[in-house]
Amino acid sequence: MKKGIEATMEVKPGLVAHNGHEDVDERHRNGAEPAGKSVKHGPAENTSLYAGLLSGNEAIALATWHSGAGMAVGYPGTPSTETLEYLAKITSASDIYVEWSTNEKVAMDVAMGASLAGDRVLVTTKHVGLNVAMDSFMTSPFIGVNGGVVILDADDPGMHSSQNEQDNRYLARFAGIPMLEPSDSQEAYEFTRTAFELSEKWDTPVMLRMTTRVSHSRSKVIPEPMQSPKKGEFHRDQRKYVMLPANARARHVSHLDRLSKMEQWAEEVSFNSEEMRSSLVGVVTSGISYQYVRDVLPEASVFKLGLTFPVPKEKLRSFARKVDRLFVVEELEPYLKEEMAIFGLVAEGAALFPRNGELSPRLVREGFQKAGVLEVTKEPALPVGTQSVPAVGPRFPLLCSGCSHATPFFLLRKFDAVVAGDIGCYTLGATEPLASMDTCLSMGSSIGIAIGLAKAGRTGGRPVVAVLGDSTFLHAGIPPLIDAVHREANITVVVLDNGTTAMTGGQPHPATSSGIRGQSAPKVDIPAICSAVGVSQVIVVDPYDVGATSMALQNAISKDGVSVVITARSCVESPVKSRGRIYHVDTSQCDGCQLCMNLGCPALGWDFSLDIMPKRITIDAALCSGCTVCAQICPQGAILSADSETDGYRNSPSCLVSINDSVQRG
Amino acid sequence: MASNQRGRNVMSNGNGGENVASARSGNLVLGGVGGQGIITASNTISYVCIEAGLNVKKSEVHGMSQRGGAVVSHLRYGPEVHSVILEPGQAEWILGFEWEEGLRYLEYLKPGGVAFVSTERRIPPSAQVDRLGGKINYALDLVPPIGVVPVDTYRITGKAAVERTASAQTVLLGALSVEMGLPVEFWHKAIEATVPPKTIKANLLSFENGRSWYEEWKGSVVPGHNTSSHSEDFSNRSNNQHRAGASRLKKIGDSSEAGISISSWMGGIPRVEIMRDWCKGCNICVSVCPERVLSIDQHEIAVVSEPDRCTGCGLCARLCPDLAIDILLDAAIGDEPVPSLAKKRGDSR
Ligand code: SF4
Ligand code: SF4
Ligand code: SF4
Ligand code: SF4
Repeated sequence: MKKGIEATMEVKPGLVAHNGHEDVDERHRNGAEPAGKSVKHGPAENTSLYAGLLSGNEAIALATWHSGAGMAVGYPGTPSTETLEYLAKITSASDIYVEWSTNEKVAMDVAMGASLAGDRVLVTTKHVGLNVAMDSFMTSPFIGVNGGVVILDADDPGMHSSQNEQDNRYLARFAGIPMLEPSDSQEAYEFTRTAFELSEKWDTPVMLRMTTRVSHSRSKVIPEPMQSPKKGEFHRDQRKYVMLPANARARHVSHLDRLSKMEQWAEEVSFNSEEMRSSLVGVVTSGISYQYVRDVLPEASVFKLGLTFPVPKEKLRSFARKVDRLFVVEELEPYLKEEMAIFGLVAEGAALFPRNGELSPRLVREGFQKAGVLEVTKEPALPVGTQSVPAVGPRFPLLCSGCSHATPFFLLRKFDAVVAGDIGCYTLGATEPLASMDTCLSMGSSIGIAIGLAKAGRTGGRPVVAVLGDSTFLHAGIPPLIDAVHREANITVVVLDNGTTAMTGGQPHPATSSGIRGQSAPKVDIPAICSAVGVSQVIVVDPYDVGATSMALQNAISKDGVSVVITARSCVESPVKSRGRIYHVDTSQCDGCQLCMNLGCPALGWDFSLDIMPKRITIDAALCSGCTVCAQICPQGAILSADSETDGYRNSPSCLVSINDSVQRG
Repeated sequence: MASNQRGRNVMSNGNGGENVASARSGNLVLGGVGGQGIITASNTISYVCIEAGLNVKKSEVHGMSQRGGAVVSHLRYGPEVHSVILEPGQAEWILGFEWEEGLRYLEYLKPGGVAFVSTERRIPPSAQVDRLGGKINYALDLVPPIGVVPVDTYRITGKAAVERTASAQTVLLGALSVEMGLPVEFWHKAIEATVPPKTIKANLLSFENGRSWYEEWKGSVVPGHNTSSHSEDFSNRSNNQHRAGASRLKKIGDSSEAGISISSWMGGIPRVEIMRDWCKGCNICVSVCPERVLSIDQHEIAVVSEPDRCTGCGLCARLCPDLAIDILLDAAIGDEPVPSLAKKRGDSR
């Protein structure tokens, strides 16, 4: 929870170029002070360090520092994000270089460079982020390391905040990179310390595979003594570092040789452990699944894998011989089952535990019940009477009150556009009531998809619009924009520029003028990038000005070729909460038309004190951030602030209808 | 394998099946809405357990769920803790920071367990989408299910509910502390260490208020009976305790919980009529209609494409520069159309 300084922000709609961003940068700097006066990190987290109660991610951060690493880089992505944030908080710039990269591939490359110069480096990414870094990831074990490289890969089974639930254990095997899987925060700490050693021992990056539940659970961590930073130096070694085909062929041979040595070594490592209890049932498991098995089947023998690539063949064979029935309990894909099947060990489990979604103690119990290992007990009895609990409705995530993304989506439907969306808070523009997004695939894909839609040309005459955020634009939106210009695609690109990486909690990015520690940094200019690649029309507009935004979209959509609209207004949530004048509804004026409810602002709701239909609207003063947008669109002028006489929104549905020249169609 | 062995092949259940609560171990579920302080509260409880020399594990939610969605944290403590996630029926206690978000996790409650649920209601926009019938998709009923202790956190701590003071929710921790039974000094220390420094005083006050309120409440329940065996008593009592909140909330429930038909409040079923000859296809009506009833057809003329969604608000008619739109009311019974316009809506005010 963010309990921050509440900066007040005067909201003055109008066509303003990049308004608010100077203060965003200021706030990023003030907001991320490492001195402990941090806005984003309340004392709560400090306490957990004191009490030794760390999340899996924090444990990795602490271990990275304690391993004497010289650098940690990554791109924000749930569930990996807090690792770098925490590391930046507990260290200072002179201890370790911690920074967000523009995307995961950049992070991976920066890490390899620093490693070759002798630094130990941590790279953090979410599962789909590793896809972005894949090009370098695959060849990195050929080049090898000088300082140890540890890649924190955080998978998201159950897709709490992701577009897919790919199982990245396959990617470690694919690249031939050793993989460790912690099952709680203490192991996350220990395995990170070990991973740096292993990386140097085997001359390859090492993957630390986390899942949401391990990353975002807190448990006790007992740290080990700190290691002083080991500073190596870059030495020229073209045959190892320059992957020309001739060199790469030789490196492939050493890579394969290393793999077979690692398979031997996997038999001896201490982080694989055989826990013999009853010989009736043996379970091979790893990561969070281990904890579930221990709870559900406390008597079963367990082979717990800490190293899941390569797996210890002989150890597993001998374990299998000691038990009557052999099971594998793993989350997502049948990775371990397949690994074991390769050397002829067939285990039960595939038909018992789901292959999708997050595992839970309940699912593990049900699986063992199906297998006949556990008696089928009745469902844990509900407290008497709770059956009468009325069905509880869903509660979906929402854009924040005053979110600067609401206006563009609210307006987009009036152009009847096909909207290619992207990844960020604004993906919620796809949900009711905004419901103005037609596709969402992967980071930066909106522009490419828009090009494809426009080129194929069968959108029923509807204009094609790509919508993506500022951080996403820098991450992967520039190459497709270049493509759009060069191929003369007839599309409109809307960059929702709120001056932060909002979805993951508000991290700075290259178009903000600060770094992770709040220090100032040169700022990349998004409008200039668009112009530089050849976009002829780049309009910067304040999304809090509904009329101006409407006009800007209208202009861009009706123009042939690529045009860019940048809606510039800082995020209301981060780096600090911003609040303007609070608005209220004059219920004698409101006729319940529900137009304002279409904004999806959580502060707007039905007035339950009035027993009339249609429902009149009221504004929750504790939630309203004073963005003025609802006041601008209310056809009755019923939404007012304390000084509504001067704010000029009364009787102004005009913002929506000011443009009555026809939209160009077809 | 011999058949007699097969009989022994069945193992006993893990600790999920046990129902023994002691001061040395316990399971909790905390539920609420993003931004309500669930993570801080679970930090506070963890801190207390650590002070007591116990092992703690807790889960948190990050990412999308924090954007106003449901937030839940599981917390387990004891001498040895494996899984951080609970199974249904394992929680001794539930803390609901919001009414429905407390009820949502009731399946996790053990028989005899207690769910402290704040009476604060945040009815999400998704529960207010029946614009024609006014039905609210929210568990408005204040009569608590058995095992649920409704806690009017704002009243107990003397705060106005509209202000949404976060520290008011610490009343829940005060009540919980009575049940958990760990030394109260640990709680004070934990609160001081986990809440923002400026709010320590307010939080400690809420905590004490919550403690004494719950002790008094418990004391007034017939001895020897826990909440789960005294439903009548319990619900009456809770309604008395929360008269202010209850009466207000009752009214919500009464007015439109079930939903009504549009003709009963409009006086007929609204129908949009577009004079095609007058329309020039300017798109204004399409862009203002809150219900997305209208669209522009291939002849560049406005058409009614979703007639069933029209609420008769009259916006389109009012804003059409060419006066091309009229809203008629079709009588629900009979076939005589009643001319109307936004004026009709004025009557219903
Ligand atoms: S837009 Fe204005 S008139 Fe319509 S429901 Fe909202 S407040 Fe009432
Ligand atoms: S209630 Fe209106 S002014 Fe307040 S945040 Fe929501 S849209 Fe903006
Ligand atoms: S507002 Fe009137 S003229 Fe414009 S499209 Fe609608 S019906 Fe036609
Ligand atoms: S009256 Fe017009 S604007 Fe209102 S809901 Fe019906 S069609 Fe839409």
